Amino acid sequence: MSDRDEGLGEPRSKPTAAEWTIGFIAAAVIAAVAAVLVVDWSAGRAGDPPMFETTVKSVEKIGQLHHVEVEVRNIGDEAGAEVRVDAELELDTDTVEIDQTIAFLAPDEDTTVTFIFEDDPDDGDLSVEVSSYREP
Amino acid sequence: MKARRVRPRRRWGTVVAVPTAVARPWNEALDDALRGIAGGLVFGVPLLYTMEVWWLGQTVSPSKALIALALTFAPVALLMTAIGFRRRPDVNVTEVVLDVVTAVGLGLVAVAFVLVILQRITLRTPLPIATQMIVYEAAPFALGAAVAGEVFGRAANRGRLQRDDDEEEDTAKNATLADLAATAMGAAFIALSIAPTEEVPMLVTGIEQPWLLVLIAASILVTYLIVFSAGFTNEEARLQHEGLIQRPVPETLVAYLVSLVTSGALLWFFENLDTAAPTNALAQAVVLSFPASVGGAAGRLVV
Repeated sequence: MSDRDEGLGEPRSKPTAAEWTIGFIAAAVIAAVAAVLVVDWSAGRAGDPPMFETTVKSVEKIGQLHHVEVEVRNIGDEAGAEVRVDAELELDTDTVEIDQTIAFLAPDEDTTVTFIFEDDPDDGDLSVEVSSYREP
Repeated sequence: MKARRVRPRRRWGTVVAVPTAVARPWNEALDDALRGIAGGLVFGVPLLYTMEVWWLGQTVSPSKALIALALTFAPVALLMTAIGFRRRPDVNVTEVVLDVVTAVGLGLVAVAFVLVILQRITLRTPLPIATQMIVYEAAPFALGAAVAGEVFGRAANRGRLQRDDDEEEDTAKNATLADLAATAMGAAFIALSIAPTEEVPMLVTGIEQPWLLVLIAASILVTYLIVFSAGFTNEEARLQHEGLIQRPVPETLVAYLVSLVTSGALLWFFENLDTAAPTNALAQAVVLSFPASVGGAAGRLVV
């Protein structure tokens, strides 16, 4: 008897009905995965480059600072890497600029970034936009 | 020689003293599946914690993902022909195809499950993107499933032979220490390559607390399945194994704690916890404890 036989019990002869059943379920899973890929392929998903939508979700004063939460979503068909998000707060006398970089955003993926300002965003004009990205 | 008490074999929550003719094929088939999943986890879990592989799945074209899925079958078929995760003396083409399809299918399902509990795939992930991520992660997983029986069967067998040689000195205390040490070593072996990476804190930021509890439950379940249910080794012999904590449930829970502590120690060693708040540090340890539990359970098979 080989090591393997000793370690895992008696060798078996032919596949049992249970093994066939599990095999058919596995085949159905593979077929479903392949079907999704074929449908996606035939639909020609590759199209629009990465496009980003920014939404200010909340502005909260914590201590003396104002935290601005911004959701960034990739609404394009391709992923973007090193996505740079610029926030600009225009005040009467000054303009404050802050930027952040998101490592990776897949199509339809979103993430939330937070900008921290000393000034209250309600006292000026706040704009947030994606200024650049890199192809992954 | 000291007499040992033999307990009835417990499987799937019910005591199975003598499997019936009907139940046995299903038990064996499920053991094969569990063994495949366990082997797949050992080989595939480091890539499940690699951001570049997540991103690859998100960026490739569907046609390339389809080719990747097709190519996965070739090395798995090669391994199945040479080894196979089922115990057949002689195999024909139909049986190899059955085993390959089962291994790849198991890989796809298990990888999807892990990606969901790691929250890399959520309800908001587009189906084609999720599918491509699963396909790319499933390839190494299926290879692990293919060699699971051979690798762990031999390891478990070697461990048992070694144990027989050392039986004179095998006290309950030694057995317990050996199990704990093997768990820690196995956990460190797998988690060592993941602990210093950015993926652990990155995963923590994307996982909400309820999913951390799911991750803990999954880690404990995987630990239990590998050691007590997957049939890598003689489970009756394992149940007779002396030791202070060697009942399945306490042993599994203690093994998980060892994996969790090992994960925390590795994260601390690689300075990933230096700036982390206590709750964040615990979350990082929980995230790393899943692969560590897989390694810990695999380590314990040889003891």
